[in-house]
Amino acid sequence: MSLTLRHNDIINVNTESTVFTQSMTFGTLASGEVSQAIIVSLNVPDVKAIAHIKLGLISIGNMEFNNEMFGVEANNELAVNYTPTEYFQGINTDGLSTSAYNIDISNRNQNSSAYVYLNINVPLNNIPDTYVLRYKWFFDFAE
Amino acid sequence: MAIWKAKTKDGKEVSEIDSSWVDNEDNITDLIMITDSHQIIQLPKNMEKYVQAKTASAELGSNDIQIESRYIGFKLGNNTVRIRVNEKTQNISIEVD
Repeated sequence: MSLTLRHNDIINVNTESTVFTQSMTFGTLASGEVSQAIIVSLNVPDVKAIAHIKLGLISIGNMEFNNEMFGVEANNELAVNYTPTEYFQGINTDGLSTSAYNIDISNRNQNSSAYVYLNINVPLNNIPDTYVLRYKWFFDFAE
Repeated sequence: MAIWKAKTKDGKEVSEIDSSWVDNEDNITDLIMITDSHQIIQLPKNMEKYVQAKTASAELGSNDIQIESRYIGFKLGNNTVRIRVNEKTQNISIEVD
């Protein structure tokens, strides 16, 4: 089976262009700092429709998890400087679609997810560090 | 790889190997899935609506997808019943939502 995916595009909100990337970094952030949101979207054009889309946080490097640190929010609109108000409540450690910590993401159209805004709220008393995370999409499709 | 097989309203037999689910989903009267371990999952016949799909995953930095599991199922009132087969372990689970 071969499907065309553009799941790992990061979207530049100003130009609505997309960038292919091997990693997602929020750069070096100081204690108490809130990063700018990065916008991602899943797009699977080769099938009639995708459904039951979820996004799981699967790695946060050497950071210590807390449940008000990793912002995530889906929205059908592209917005400048939007700050997510919801948070990942845990890490998907088994990498499976059934993880209770995956976030349900709505469809923007039959083949695409909503835009997902991701950011990091660095806790107070953290030393400045470079923040990199990995996530995984899950979705259903029929051919 | 588990595959689905179905009978349609006009008596035709179709399967994942030779047909598209999307072309047949509104005309199915009988649906089964055959797993890698040769188990056959038989759904009740003549249900109003059948469902079938694969659950896939994709990681950042890769354009590959992994099929995690497949399911067949049917609508029952306001609920959907799904019988899911894990692609790696062949474990079978039942979901109702």
